[in-house]
Amino acid sequence: MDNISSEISAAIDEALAASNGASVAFKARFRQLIVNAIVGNLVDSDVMDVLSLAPTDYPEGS
Amino acid sequence: MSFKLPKPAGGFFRLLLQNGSSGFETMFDAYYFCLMVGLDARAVGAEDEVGEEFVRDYVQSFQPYSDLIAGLLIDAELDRARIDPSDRSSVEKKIVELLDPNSATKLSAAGHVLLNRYAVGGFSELRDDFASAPQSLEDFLITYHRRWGTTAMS
Amino acid sequence: MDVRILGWRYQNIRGMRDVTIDLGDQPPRWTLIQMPNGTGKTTTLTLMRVALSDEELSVQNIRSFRPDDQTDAGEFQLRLSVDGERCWLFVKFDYDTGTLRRFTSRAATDAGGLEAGRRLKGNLQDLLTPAFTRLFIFDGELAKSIRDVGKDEASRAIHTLYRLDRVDRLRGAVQRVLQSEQEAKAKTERGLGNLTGRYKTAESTLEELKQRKTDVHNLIEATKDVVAKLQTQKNERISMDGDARRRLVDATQAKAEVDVKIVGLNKDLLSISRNPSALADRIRTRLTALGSRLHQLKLPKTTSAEFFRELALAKDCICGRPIGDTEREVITSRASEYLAENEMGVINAMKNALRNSAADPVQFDEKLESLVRTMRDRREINQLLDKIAAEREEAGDAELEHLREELRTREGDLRAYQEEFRRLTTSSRVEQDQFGFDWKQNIPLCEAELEEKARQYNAALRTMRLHDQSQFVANLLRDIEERASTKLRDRVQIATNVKLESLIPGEHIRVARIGKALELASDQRKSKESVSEGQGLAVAYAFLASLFQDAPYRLPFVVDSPAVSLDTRVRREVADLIPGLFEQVIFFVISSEREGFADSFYGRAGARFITMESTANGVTSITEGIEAFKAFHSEEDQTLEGVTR
Repeated sequence: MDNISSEISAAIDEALAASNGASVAFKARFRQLIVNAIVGNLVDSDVMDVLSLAPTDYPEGS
Repeated sequence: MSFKLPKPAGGFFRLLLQNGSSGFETMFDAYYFCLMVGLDARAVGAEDEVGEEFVRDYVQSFQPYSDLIAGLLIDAELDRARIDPSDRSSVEKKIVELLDPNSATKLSAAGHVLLNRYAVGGFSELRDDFASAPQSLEDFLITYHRRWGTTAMS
Repeated sequence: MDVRILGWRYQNIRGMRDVTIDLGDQPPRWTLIQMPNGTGKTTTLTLMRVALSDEELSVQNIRSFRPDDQTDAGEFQLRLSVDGERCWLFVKFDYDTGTLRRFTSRAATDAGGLEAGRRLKGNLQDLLTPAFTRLFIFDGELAKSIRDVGKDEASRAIHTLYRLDRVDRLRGAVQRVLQSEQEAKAKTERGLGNLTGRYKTAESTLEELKQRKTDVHNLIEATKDVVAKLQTQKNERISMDGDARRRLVDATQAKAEVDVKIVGLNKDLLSISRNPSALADRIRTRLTALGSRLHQLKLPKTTSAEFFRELALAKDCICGRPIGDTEREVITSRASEYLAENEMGVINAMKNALRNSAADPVQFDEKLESLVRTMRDRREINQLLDKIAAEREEAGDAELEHLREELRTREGDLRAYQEEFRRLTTSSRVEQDQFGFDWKQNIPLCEAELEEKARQYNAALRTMRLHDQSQFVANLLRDIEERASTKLRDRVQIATNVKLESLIPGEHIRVARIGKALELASDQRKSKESVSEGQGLAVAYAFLASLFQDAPYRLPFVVDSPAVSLDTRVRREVADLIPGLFEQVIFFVISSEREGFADSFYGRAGARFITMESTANGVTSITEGIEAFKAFHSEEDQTLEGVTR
């Protein structure tokens, strides 16, 4: 099974549309993260990778 | 084993330490001049005036005199403690405390601590010979040697 | 993923010594198995569930399968095809211990050899939990518990089937990150403003210092030029007079020579001074005295520490007395008070050094005197040079005076700049410490400070960022779960109600809401608290069918007594409804269910009819075919039929 139900897909789209400040890159990576979670194709570090792309008020730092 | 310059000595000898061609060749020169005065006066200075390590072992120019310096330390310590020179066992005990044949400097850790304190004491003494910080090496040498009573300075 | 049941086999399970139900490699869409009550319907469904999930069985339960006292082992095989691949699941029972073991044989692995444990393909393995398996290996109990608000069956079924449980787990992981960042944030937030400020201060200070270094370097170069020019100008000025010029040249030459001489004498004196016994008579005297004192004391002694240690090991002292333990201890401790071999070596070296430290005090004094004299000479030459300049000045040369002034000032400036440069740039820790520099005055120290502040600042920033980010993602996931859950429940609810309209048209029983349970309502009563067993069953079928309708898994549907409590009309509806919604259905029926239910399959091509009965001597027989099926008659079932109608 390598696709997810249309309801879940729609839920992801809606939730992302309702959110503020997420980058295009984050949205794509995040969606894939959920798909991977559902099909059981996830490792721990994947979560942190995607978290680091999420929006934040604080700058990158030097 | 480490040699530590007295804290205020750096400022006092600043010009002599910075001047490459006409000043001290190494920091050890400054240390040595202070040390000799201190050992002679049998004066250990204040512990909090001992500065940072500037070299671990004897620099090459002083290596030949390491045994003599060890001897002078023993001599000063025997005198400072007023150990009876004919008390063989006390003399021997004191020597054992100060020497460590396995160290590169032949001095024990305790010996080094004392040496650095004598440098501090020596600096306090010799500073009073000068009205202000020496501006040149020749000025320093001439004033310094006065205290040893060389006949040239009469 | 497509799962079909190809058959099963009982070995030594209750009345079944060795009974195989083989549905073939392409099993029929509908299989009806007529099995009277008491022959093992419930057992069969239980065994199927146990094989498919990791459902536990109690020792009693297992032992209840034991056919007789002589038999100590039994086995149940469930033969599946998963996406076309053969997968057989074995459950072996040990009746003595009352335990079971599982095995799997897959066509794809190892030429079909047995692997220990239940080994299903990937996602199927953890999808088939005991709770979930009961949704498609189904008996009347489920129908009730689906509507039981106390349990969680309905919405959990949706959750599991569509794998929202995994989204849940993901959210849990993010939540944990958020939690730890929350704690870190509380600590960091207070200090962040400070850190930013300090970092920026260090940064701007470094800028300033570097700029200053460049400036000072340029100043040094410029001042050197100026000094050189001024000197040249001054000398030119002085040398305008031929005679003065000659005198100037001589004097300048003499000054150079005397400077060199002083440098040489300094070097020599410094070198000689390093020998303590050359430094002063007093010192030499002390060293000599020390040497002879040691000699007088006969130090190092011939008796040494080694002697004492050896003595301690001996039985008798040289004096003849025996040495016991106490004496041994005393002797050994005294050994440490005496000079060891090596220390003697040092003392001897010192004495040698003394002997050889012959320094020539006369030479030293001479050099010192020479230095004094040469310094005096230098003073005279400087005075001469000044005089020459002054003569020019007296002759009305204000310009020369100005030049001399200027030169003095500039030389002073140069020294100051050089010192400042040194202060800015030295990386020697001893110098930094000796002269009391800190990071505000010294570039290497400032760079170190900046690095440290940057490190702290970035660490703090990382915390704040991660907190925000994990917060954002946790919220997003919660949102997604809620939306997805709602959508899925809505779909299933609508589909269920559509089916209910044809199943139970009169009463308009509908699913009002899928909360934890299926909550019903009807037109006649606001909330349907109690429905008849038949209606409840219909609701369950409608729900299950809707649930699995568009699911990503195609599972076989196995039902125990699907229609027993339904009236005839509903039976027909159910018989029409269910089969169309599953790729494979297996019904276990009793004879009284034939009417209205089983009989609607008689006309379907591809339906299969199997009759199982246990004969008088306890053996189970299997008969294929529709005729036997129709003809079968069971006493117990007749009685049952009377009760339920």
